[in-house]
Amino acid sequence: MNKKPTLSVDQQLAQLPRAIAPARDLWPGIEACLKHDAAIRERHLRGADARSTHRRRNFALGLAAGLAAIAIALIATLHPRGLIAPLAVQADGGAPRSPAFLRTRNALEQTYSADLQRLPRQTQARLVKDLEIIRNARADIRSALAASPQDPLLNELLADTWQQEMDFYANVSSTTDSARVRWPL
Amino acid sequence: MTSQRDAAWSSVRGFEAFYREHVGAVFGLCQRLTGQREAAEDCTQETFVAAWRALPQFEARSTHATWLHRIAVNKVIARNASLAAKFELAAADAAHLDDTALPEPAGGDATPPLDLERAIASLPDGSRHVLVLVSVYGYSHTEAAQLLSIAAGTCRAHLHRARQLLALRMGLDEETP
Repeated sequence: MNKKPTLSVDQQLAQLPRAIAPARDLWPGIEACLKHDAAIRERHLRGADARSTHRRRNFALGLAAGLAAIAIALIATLHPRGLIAPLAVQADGGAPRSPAFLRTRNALEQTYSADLQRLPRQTQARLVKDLEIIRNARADIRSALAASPQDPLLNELLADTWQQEMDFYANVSSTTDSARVRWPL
Repeated sequence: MTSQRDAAWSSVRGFEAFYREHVGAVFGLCQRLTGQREAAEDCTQETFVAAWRALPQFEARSTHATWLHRIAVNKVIARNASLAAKFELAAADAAHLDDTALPEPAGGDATPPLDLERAIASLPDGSRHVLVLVSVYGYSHTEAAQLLSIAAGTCRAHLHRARQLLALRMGLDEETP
């Protein structure tokens, strides 16, 4: 005695209500996920603030290095060889030995070393790498100087690597007045 | 107007109001697509969490209901794919679809006819998805095919098959689509 429904399948499907209320409240589970998300986002934001500070410092360093490189390139382009007197660096390519330079350099190096320890490991690694770039450049210039020790341009470039290194220390260590420190040769 | 509402929803409390407004529609869709209450509850929760995360990217080209439906369908499909990968349900479902012998009509000697909701839930996944989207929620074949990432022809074939199965299981005469 099965009485078939009078409506077709399509008609019955079309009459189904689209909304169905769930048997239990699903919001608590969703809310927990949203709050978890919010907590993670907040942690990221705090981390981003700290990273931003380091990024600004790295940006300043990069800018200083870039400006130094441009300055070197300009000097190399604008000054014909022989017009600029060699600077007072050591003949063996070593650091200038004037007492004023050594005092300034030692002070900056000490401050830099102390500051470096306080920075995050990742930033430390990047700074060490930056310093290595400057020192490698100096090594390259020294190699070139070995072949032509009186070349004024090479001597100037070499002197500039010392200036860059000092600037590097000063930029890392300084907080408010990161002015370029001109060391006496 | 929409941006004001989006701003209101960007707080958890504001989003709860959004949830309350749409949960019935989303759960209904998930329930019919999955055919299982618990799976539908999971998919509904995942849909709203995904909507919360994607809210900043929501573009007012569609309504929030349409947007939520799209997310819900993706959640159900992703869940099925995950389950299929785990338990090789895909092979079983494909075998079910390929089976040319239709099941015994409901209402026969042994089996009483199923009500519509239970009959829908008993359909193979592919056929059920198409039937729910096209026949219950009013999507076109093209839209349903896009949502399910299948060809429009496959969509039509699934729908035809779903109608046949429904008619049989509900003890109705077979209808032409």
